[in-house]
Amino acid sequence: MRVIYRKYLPGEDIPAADYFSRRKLVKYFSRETMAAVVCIGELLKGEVPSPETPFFFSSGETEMMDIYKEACMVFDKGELKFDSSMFLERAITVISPLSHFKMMRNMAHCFISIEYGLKGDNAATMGSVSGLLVPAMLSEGRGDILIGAGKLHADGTAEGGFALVTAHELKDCPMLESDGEAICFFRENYNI
Amino acid sequence: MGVVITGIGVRSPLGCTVEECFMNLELGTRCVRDIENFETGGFSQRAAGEVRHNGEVVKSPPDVDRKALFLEGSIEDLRNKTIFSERYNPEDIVLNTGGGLDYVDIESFYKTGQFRSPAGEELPSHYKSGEKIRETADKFNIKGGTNIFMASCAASTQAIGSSYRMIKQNFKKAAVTGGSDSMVNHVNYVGFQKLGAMTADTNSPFACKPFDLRRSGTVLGEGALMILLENSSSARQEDILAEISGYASTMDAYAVTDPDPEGKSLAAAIDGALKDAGITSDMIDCVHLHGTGTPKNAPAEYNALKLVFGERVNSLPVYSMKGQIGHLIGSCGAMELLGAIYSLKHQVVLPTINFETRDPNAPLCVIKGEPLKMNIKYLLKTNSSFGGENTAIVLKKWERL
Repeated sequence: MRVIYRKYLPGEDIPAADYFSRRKLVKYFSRETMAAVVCIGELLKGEVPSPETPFFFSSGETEMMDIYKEACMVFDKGELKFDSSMFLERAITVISPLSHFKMMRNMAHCFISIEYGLKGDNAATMGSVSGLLVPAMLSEGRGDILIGAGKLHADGTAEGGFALVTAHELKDCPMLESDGEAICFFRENYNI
Repeated sequence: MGVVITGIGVRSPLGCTVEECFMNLELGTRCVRDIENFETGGFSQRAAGEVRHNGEVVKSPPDVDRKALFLEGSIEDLRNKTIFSERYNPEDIVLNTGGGLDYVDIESFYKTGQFRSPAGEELPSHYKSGEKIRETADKFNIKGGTNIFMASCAASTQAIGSSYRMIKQNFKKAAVTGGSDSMVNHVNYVGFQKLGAMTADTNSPFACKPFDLRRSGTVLGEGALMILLENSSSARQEDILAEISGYASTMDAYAVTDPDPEGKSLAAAIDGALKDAGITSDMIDCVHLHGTGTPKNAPAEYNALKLVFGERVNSLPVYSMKGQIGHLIGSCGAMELLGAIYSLKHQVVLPTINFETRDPNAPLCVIKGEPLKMNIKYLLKTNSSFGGENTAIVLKKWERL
């Protein structure tokens, strides 16, 4: 089992563009997705996985509220009144497709599948270690399974982790039924 | 032994009981209307399938996360019907559910100045999806794990498919599974509209037209559908509604916003589910498709079916529920199982609401007008997400032992 984990502090540059061939898409990435992209790049080191490789990814609970805060800032005139028309008129520029991509919880799963041509059995989950490991363990694949997780903290700290595992390894994993956040598996087991 | 569905709890634009939903499916009631639950001044589009009971929108104040409300209500009904908490140890039951974007009560977030709070501070108007779902599991004493699936439009079918595997492989004895979602609120509705998938047609009941030549986009819906999955050998025989006999999931790995127009990965998911069910494509009697009403969806689904079913694609009856209730995103696949169970129970393929004109680029056999009476033993249900995840589930009519 090869496991990688990276942590980036608030404001720290995450070099996702160095690990993603379609660099223009990086603007759609949240910091969680960026960290995940770096981790899988470091894990595979140019190796191309089989398209059938099962791929399971767990996103962390949303903690960062930048988009909502930004939306409120732009229509704040100090009156703290709220009406729908005003909200739309002023906040519409902030609630852009770009921000929506950063909010959707399956985007890291999706961007990584595109980059590496992963077309096999899969799930995009959120939350617990168990929620990531159990579906992966029960997947159809007999060989390597790719699992990953990310977490974006409220202050902008981003964590990512990736691993190549087998169903057999997961079956014996002490964290298989853990309720801790999925990223904990990578934080505790990284070996490269 | 088989993996069987033995109960349903529902909060839907069709209604809040299975009987009410089935009645509205039969009547073809158009459940997409102008939004009533929140003020939509300034909105260019107001269409949505809001949860209704006896025809009236179920309203809630802005400090209520509707998808959490619907999840709780549907599990409560499911528990009362199936008495799962009396029949299984809490540790033997897992909660696997499809979810959606977090709900933020933007009005309160703004009015109370929470948007000025420093990073990391607990914000009462931010309703975290994972936290709410775990609270619900605790409330119903479900102790066998809580797993949240977030593959957008395929989230709830990934939840159901994973539950099916957990029971089939004897990892759990029972699963409370399905999905709950509501994007019918200021921020998420506008965000979805900006993605470009929503129709500009403002004639709400007729706005979403799956497979139709005139289709111009989808409309949002909301709701929850939770089912109980069990091993047929431990289920109460009289409760069995249908069997899940196959499941597979694939990814397009094509584009974030568009489906693979050739439908190859969707076809691979269908092949995988057929193989898992141990049947061949000629044994499938009808297909309940994702059918969003977007221009790119129908040709991709047509091409996928053509790869699997060959020339039979032109005569194989297909159906989509989204014209009637809208697109429920994180709970759409689960809600659409209701249509699948209706088909298996009544041996009909329902007409797709708002379908009138066949698209020569996607000449599917869509039923219009009257329901098509036919023998249905195996039914295929597919869903595809914004992001490229595909799921296929094979459902089988349950023959009583």
